[in-house]
Amino acid sequence: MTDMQQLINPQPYHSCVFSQLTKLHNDNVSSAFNSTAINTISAEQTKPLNKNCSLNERLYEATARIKILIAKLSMHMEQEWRSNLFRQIDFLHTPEDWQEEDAPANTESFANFLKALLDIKPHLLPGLGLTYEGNIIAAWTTGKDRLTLEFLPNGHVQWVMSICAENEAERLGGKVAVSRLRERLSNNDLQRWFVHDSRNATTESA
Amino acid sequence: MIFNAGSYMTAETPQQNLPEDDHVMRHIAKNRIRRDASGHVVGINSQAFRTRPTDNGALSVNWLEWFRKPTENDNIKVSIHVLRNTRNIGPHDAFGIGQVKKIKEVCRSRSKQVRIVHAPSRENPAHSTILRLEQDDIILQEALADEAFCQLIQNKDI
Repeated sequence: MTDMQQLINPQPYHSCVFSQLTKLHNDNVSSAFNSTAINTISAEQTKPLNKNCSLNERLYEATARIKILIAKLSMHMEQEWRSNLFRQIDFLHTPEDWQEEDAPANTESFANFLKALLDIKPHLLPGLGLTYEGNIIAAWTTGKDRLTLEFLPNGHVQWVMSICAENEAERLGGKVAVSRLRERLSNNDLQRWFVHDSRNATTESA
Repeated sequence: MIFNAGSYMTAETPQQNLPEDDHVMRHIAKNRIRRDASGHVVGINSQAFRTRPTDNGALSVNWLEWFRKPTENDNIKVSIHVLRNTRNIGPHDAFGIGQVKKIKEVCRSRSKQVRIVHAPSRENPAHSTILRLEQDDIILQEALADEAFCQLIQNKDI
């Protein structure tokens, strides 16, 4: 199995590749937001996917780029987070569900998502989705309350929240630079979204 | 007048407004279904109601009562069957269902007067469209996702 295959299908997650990458980046950077690893996405990772390749190849390539990005930041993440994100990315790129007109996940959009995630450090990871343009959607749901973030490739986040009060939904939305997202959300009770509340656990299975 | 791609209506054919009490179904691609981090389905993401630039502001839906089956469930089943034959529906995709009246009400609350009209195609005689939606109105899209299309049926369950 090649290094790339191990990244795409890690078995187990503390494979030699992760260990090597972790050592390489184990520079005790306290703020992942300022980490050079996340701010220096290589040109190789952002070049457009080859449209002449088969769908499976394009999805494989997009998945690999994102998993490499996650691996580069492994020192900032618990293994549980890493494996969860790997699983969600695999699910988003499942070929048998793929809509032909959709674009695979955009690496820059995902990098912005990782920046926000490591800056906010939520107790709960979001459920991930994709727009048809390939932007990452991160969704937190607490009962009837919803927070949805769409990470644009240009460093901005389109956010929308829906809060149910007295059986009526209040909705807010806007666009903000990813560097200001935590500050923007802190005006709307960060804990509501990012702290676990077992009362709202759902039992419906995907 | 905007015609949906694939429609066989002509310029002379008036577009029929759907009755207020009737229901429409929208195909929700797997990646626009709202899940929690464990993969449990918890709803629809607002981006499922964003039109593409090529849609000219028209959102594709299926008119359920067009099928005139004895029960609502039968209408849903036959609509899903038609969609499976006309679109690429994956095993993890789903279908959102909303009432015409509620959809219009939600849009009015954002000062949008939408029309929901029958726009049949040869392959899908129940095909309809929601007209005059704006691509950039994220709050309206959120309202459609969490208030108007309040029933979600997973493809694997039918």
